[in-house]
Amino acid sequence: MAIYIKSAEAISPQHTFRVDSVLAEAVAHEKEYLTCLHPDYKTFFNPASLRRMSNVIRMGLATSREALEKASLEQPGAILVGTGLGCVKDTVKFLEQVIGQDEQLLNPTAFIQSTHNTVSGQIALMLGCRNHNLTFSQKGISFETALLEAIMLLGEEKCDNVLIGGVDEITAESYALMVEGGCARPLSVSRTEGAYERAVAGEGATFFVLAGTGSGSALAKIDDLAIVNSCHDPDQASAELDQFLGRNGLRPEDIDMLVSGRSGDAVRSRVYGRIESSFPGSPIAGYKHLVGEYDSAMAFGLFLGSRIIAESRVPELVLMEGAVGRALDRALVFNYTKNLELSFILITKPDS
Amino acid sequence: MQDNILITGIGVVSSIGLNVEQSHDAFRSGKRGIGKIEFLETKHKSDLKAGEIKLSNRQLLEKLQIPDKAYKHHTRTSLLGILAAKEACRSAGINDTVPTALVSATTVGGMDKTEIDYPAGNTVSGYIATHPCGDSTDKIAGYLGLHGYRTTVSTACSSGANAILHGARLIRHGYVERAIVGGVDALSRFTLNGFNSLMILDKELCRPFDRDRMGLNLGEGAGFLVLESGKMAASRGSRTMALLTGYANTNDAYHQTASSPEGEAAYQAMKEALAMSGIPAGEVDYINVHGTGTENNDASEGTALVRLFGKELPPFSSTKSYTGHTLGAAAGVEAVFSVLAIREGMLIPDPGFRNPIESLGISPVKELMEGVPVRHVLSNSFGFGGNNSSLIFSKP
Repeated sequence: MAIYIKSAEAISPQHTFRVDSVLAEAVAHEKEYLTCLHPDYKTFFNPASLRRMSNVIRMGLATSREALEKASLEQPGAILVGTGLGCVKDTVKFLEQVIGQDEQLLNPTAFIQSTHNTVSGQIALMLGCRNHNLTFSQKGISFETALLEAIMLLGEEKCDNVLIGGVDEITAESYALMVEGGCARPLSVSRTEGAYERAVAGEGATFFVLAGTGSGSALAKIDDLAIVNSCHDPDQASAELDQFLGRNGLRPEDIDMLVSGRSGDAVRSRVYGRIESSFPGSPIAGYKHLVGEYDSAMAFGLFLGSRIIAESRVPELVLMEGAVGRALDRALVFNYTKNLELSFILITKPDS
Repeated sequence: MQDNILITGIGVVSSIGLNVEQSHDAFRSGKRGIGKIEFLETKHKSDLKAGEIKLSNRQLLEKLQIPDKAYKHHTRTSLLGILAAKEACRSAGINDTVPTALVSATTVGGMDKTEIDYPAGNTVSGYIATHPCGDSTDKIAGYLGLHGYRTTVSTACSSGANAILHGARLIRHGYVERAIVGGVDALSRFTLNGFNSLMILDKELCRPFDRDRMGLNLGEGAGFLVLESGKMAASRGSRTMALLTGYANTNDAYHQTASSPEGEAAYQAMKEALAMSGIPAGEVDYINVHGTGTENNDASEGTALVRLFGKELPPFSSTKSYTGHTLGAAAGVEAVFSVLAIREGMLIPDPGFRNPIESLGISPVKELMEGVPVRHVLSNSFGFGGNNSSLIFSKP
């Protein structure tokens, strides 16, 4: 069943939110990891509420509001969120209080805001929305499993539209742990220096309104989704790709555009290389050099892909390989994570 | 779309037992699992009670025959999850390699390990890798040899129910013929202190739905069901224990932690789940309420129950009197108890109860009953973020 992307909005480390032209020019960053360009949240929330909100909540709420407005929708039929690490700042804050204050006289605010479904709960509160509301947290495919739930809900005609997003925040503490855990390299260190063939860490909030029918405008159509929890090597990736294209009656030459989750991680690049080389004719767009790597980054990939399809244009900043010669009617968005998770999303022009 | 979702296996671990049979014995003997904290390293050992499983992490490793050196890849959460999921698979008699989805749920994730090793800067413990929610699910899958789709729901205290309904959805839409679904949470300093800071813990044994209730007791555990399509169950000749005939998730959109006084979302979740099942409210034979024992939940849930069923409620009880509130595991644990109630024709009593909430005048099951007809069971799980879920189980 086709799912229509009615709107796609993103707060990210680049110019992607409330701009005339998404990713028109690159933003330089000075920290060792990429952090979001935040809008003036005072236009969204009152100062009292704002003071209590961590970044993940601010980004999630503002992006959701924007996605709903662009889709001219007040109440979505369901709210779904995918997040790998949830509310990092409040989790660390409460944990440090527990230790620092020897488990005595603790302030509950950080605890309340540390639960993974805080963002989806706050969205429901903001909208007064009493509908279906789920949060998934499965590392690098958190967003994709939320998307699968969305596809099933729309397929049941349980609701006409769904608000769905991927959101993850980064803090100095979580970045330090990523470096310690061997998952991130400092931004200032070039990719090829010694052992630093790893991804740069980032963050972002990306929300979509999806609908079961294409009436009215839509940016793009989602034709298919595949989630592979453990892809061990390029051969398996090839097999999964063949199966994905095959079940959609497609050959590689039918794909006009690739949106790759390639991140600079040397080990994963073998799988990316194998997938990308299966499409000799397609230009390849990448985004993790601009927004970084994080568990729900695939949501940004889908955002980019849907904007490319909608505008029939590829921002120069993201074009990594190849040239855009033909019409951009069909794109393959794919991601491969350090946890060996592989996902494919096939998107097409809405009227095709 | 597939119609029937069959439950062919159940597995549970909590402070009242390491498996289904021990839990059943506990209901029979009235033995509650809430008591002194022994294993969790906390400053509150002397002043707070919890439903703690009396096995150390090393003992859990041994029980599962996991080598000691593999401990760095595990947390208490993953170990408890494996224990219950393993029992569920065994009780379903699974001995094939048919693609089986795994949908788990947790709120603590690897925090039980992180909270010890992060402050100590002990990165070799492996806590960075085991911290995320999805990791315990990966470990359960790894232990059981499941190579297919798996994911984790994290919606606070309703997590397990939402994992169950996502798994059921996967089967109904034909993505898989079988799914292992449920949830797990281990005790942690983080959650113990979190709930304590909210001042909703009872320092004594909790009294769900009681006029003088003082709050909840935390617990830990894991509960999983094996769900199968009718086609799969028939081809395997598996024994159906119960059917999952209805489910619903709604949001209160009222407050981040408190429930609305009228229990609006609770009312809607129960109503929708019943509507989906096609079962009239009058045919529900037992309700396993969320019943945490907090002032707010029980008043709100009680109000919603009376709105839906009238004052002549079906028999109901909160098994959190036995296990404590197992958070992300609660709905999974209580789903297992609901299936047990159907299988044994059992009405589980509530040993914490003395006097009804005055404005509601409703009382739970007072004494254990067995061999009575239990055709349909409603199970409620309500969490922070206004997340309300209800499940309906029916006799096959």
